[in-house]
Amino acid sequence: MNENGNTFLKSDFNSNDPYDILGVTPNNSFAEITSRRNELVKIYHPDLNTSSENYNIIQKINDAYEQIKKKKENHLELNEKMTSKIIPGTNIPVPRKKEANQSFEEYEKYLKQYYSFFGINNKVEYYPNTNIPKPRAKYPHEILDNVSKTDPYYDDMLKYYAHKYSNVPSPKELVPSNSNALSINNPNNNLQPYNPPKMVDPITKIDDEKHEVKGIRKAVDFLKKHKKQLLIAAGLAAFCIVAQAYLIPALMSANSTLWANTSVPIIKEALHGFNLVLGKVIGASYAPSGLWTSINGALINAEAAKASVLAALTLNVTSVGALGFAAKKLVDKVLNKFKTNKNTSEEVQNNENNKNEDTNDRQLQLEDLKNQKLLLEANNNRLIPIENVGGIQR
Amino acid sequence: MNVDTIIDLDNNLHYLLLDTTNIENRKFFYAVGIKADMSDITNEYIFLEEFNDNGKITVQKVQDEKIKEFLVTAFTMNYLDYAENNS
Repeated sequence: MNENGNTFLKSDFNSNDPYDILGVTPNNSFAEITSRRNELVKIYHPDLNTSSENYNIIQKINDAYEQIKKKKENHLELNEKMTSKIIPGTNIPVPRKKEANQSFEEYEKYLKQYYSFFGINNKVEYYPNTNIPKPRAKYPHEILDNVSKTDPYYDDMLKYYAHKYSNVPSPKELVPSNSNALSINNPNNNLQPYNPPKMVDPITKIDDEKHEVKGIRKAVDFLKKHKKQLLIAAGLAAFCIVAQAYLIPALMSANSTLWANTSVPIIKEALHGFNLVLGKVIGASYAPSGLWTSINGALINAEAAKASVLAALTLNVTSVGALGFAAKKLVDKVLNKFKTNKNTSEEVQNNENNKNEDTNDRQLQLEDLKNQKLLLEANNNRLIPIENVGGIQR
Repeated sequence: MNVDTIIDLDNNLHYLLLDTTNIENRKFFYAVGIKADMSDITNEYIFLEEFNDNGKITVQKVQDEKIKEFLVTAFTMNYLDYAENNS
């Protein structure tokens, strides 16, 4: 305990940490640290003890004090800058503006520290009951379209984002570290020229005019889409059951009548063959020839009916299931074809393969973008004077 | 109009509304373009303002630099999250 009643740690002059040297902690106020430094100076001042060891110690004390002083000053400056303006609708101060001699990377580093200070640093979210982290939404670097082009760093930012968010390696990355002999002009070094990625999709962009909203619908909704397809497939399956129970037997009966009343062998054979196929479709056993003539056009006799029922019971499930599955596949294909009618058949196939991934990505992107409401939700419930908006700095 | 919906405009452009905010009773959306075949989103991220003229809903691309700067600030936070996680 010193004369002011403060308790400090023992000084460690062999340490490189300025706090250890002075025997203080970062939690001590600057006044306390100054007091401690004065106390140590009194003890080790060269005027009181002229040994060379004391001279080194006093140097260390002064250096440590200056380092801490600098840190504290920077912290105060940061605090002052942080609390100058508040982002409307939040209690988050506006970060200071990028300085003229500051690179964008440096500014970004500052922003990271700044936001982590407020506890809004990244939180990695996981899929439920897994340890698989959810991918973060890709920040749209195209948002720079909305940044003032008079910004002196606008071009640098464009380049920066282009490098950061593309898989295209930069020229530096293309050149191996041990390749002093290699030259970009040497055709044998397999170096590819660096082509900057396109910043904006060449698709038609909206102009500045007002446009009427013709329709509003739910965003890409994977489940709903599938529900629709499944409902159609179920409808088709139901139709198959009806066809199996009524339509095909009726058609077979009509064929049998026609078969009985015709004498042309070819027609008889054709009707016979057709009924065989129909019988297979509905899973019934079919006994033609004498049977058909004896009952004069009846569908099947009592024995055949029993067999038909047994066969139908065993085969119904598989046939209807197969029909339903085939119908679903067909509907999927048809829907995809309508949806991407400009695409080639290969692309349709690819779409089918990538459908789940794309939709999941989009859903995840939506989820992550919803996280942005942390700030914007507050704004929704608060009217912001337009002049305040003008005060915001990026 | 609400977020997580797709709007179809009279010029045959489609946008997915990602987020919304109000400034002085004016409603703004952060939106991304959807390709004509609805197969994917485009790289066109824009701010739209909603207008309601006697029940007729229209949108217009935001031109006001001050409002844009405000909206960009709002989205900066998420960018930082992204940069932190992917750096």
